[in-house]
Amino acid sequence: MPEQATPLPILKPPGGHQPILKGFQVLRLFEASRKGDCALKRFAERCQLRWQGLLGGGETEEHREKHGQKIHRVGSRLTRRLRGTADLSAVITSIGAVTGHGLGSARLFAALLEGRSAIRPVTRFPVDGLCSNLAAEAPGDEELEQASSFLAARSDDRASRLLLAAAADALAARELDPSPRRGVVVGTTKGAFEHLGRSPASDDLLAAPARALARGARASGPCFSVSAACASSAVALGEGLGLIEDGICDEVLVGGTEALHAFVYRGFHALRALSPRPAMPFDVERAGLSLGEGAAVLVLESLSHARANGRRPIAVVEGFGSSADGYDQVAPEPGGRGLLEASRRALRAARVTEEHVGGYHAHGTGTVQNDRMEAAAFAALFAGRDVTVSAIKGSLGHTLGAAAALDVAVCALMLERGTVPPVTNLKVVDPHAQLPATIGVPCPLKGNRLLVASAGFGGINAALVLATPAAAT
Amino acid sequence: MSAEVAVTAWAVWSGGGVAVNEAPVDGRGRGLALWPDRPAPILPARGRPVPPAASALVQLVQAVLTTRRARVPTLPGTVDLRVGTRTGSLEVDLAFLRSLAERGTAFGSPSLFAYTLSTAAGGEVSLALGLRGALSTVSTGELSGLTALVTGAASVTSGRSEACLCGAMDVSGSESDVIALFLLEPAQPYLHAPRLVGWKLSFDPEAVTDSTGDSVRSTMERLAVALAHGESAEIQASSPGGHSACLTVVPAAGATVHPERSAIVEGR
Repeated sequence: MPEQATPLPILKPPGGHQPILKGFQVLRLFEASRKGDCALKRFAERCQLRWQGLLGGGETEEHREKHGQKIHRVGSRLTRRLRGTADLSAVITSIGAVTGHGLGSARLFAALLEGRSAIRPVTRFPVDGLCSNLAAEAPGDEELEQASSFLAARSDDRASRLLLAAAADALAARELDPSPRRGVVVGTTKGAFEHLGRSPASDDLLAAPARALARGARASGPCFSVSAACASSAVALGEGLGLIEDGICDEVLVGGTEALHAFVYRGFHALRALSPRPAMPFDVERAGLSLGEGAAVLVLESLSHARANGRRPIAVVEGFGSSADGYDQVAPEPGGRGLLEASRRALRAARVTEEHVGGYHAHGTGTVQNDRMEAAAFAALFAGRDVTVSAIKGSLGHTLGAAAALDVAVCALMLERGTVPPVTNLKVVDPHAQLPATIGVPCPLKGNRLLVASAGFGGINAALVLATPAAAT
Repeated sequence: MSAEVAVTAWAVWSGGGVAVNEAPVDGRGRGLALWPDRPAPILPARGRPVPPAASALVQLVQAVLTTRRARVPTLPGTVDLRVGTRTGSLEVDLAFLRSLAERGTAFGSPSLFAYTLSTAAGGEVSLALGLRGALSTVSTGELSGLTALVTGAASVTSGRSEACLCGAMDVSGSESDVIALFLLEPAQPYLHAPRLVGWKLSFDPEAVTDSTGDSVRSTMERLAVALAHGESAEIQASSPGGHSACLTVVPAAGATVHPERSAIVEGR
């Protein structure tokens, strides 16, 4: 970084009761300083001086704490903005997917555009006596292993096989030299669940898919799995975004994977959440959710790294936010306040407002509770604005820990092509869950930025902001 | 990463007992030791029975936050909860499987199923104590707790979190059971607390399965000992699966005394 060309504006001497500059004022001052490590350091020192002045000003401890946090937040924002000038914004450059529609993200997007559903009678385990017999099953193990054979990674559980097959789709055209700056973050809720209870050593079920992917991709940077119920892979994307923005990694393989297990199927039956018909998100005749299995892998990399390697960004991940609504273990807060808060946090992190968003990609499970909660959050956030609404669980079922990664994969393709697929199985929108959902045929995407929503058990909510590369610059 | 983050309160609960802002208690035994005082009553959510491990996490979070508030009354507006776990919801998973075997596959217990997620215990914290921050678990085998600390510290220093309760929770009825929590906040002059000043995660794709003897419990206890003794220390660990983690701790700047202690230390 060059030394600063323009001196920093001199801040007023520390005064006991003077408020600290507001965030936007500080940003304006900082931008005037031409940006640079030197400028940031000097600016931080001045903030510290000012802060110490406040400390000596005899204010209350509560007041000091509040201002201290403000300085920290502003400093962090400055750091991020500074790094942004070094092209550390995170872009998606490759997408891979495996779903009930088969291998490959292209096949998935084609099925969505046609409004086809992969939800069919379950073949993998008996479902006698349960309230549904349907799910969206991915291809068999043999096909998955064949697809990922070039990655040369061993996997002895289905979630890892699904993940590796999705990775093979994403990484087919890439060089995979070993790299300490390549990270792996994978969202899953049950991981290698079929090994449960086999031995104490096999208790480490959740991290198995992430390790399999890191071995296959020869990644020696940070590697870990994340669980946050049905928002798991949204949180994984948030973690991947952090690794890029903090300059820890040049590229992060962010995945989500979930196998269909009898255990989970019977659990959702116990909750009476399964629909006897393929799921119909937001439809007046919906009767619950359909489970699915699948995986998605997104290669997230810094814009500078992508450019240096001649890769074209498909979409930019601009921001992530998450919250807990503290309402119930399985039911969402009906007013959608948790999802609303997560969405606002994501928008703040992306440094945009809801007015910059042209499309809302819903969690859309097809349960009454979820759909109405989401409609309430949508109404509060967008307040009647003309925003397209999409959802994919009527087509590939609810893939739990993989759901958000698949959502983001589809949204990146929507941004690339400017087309929004219809919500599969939606015919008439529930008047109590009013959303301007896309019905029947694809429609053009409004604007060039999407908000992607996720919600899960434990009151967890998460949201991501995605944009076209042109919109983000 | 070289930014700094303050550890303003911590607690470790293991088979030895419970220690808050103290070195962990030695002692072995299957499962967690009994809580030394009468625990605060925890209301079950919507009438469901709460699994013991989830209740235990709520109790320990409460202890950490109470200790922190005793030093500086106000907490940051939003506190995230990030728990490292190797076994996830193992005990509840096994209980749900037993319920399916005993009652039939169509008659599993919905109350049990609600807790068959590694984040269910964290959800209980949100329900009982009103935390509205982000909530997640991370897993890297034996290093899951350190991974939660490393990723939490990065989140706090970058401003993605205002504060983060990080640590580990591995409760499966074994001698290595542990719940450990460390409250990470931006390092500020008024927070006279030990700090994390460096951290790193890495992975060896070629790793062979040689155990180094590190466990979730041992890594959390090493960190708590360094914090309690006011030592500068580098907590390094690696797992048979190929994960490695490193965390550098330094005492509070100019510290002549340790952070306030509210010792709740008792054997079984």
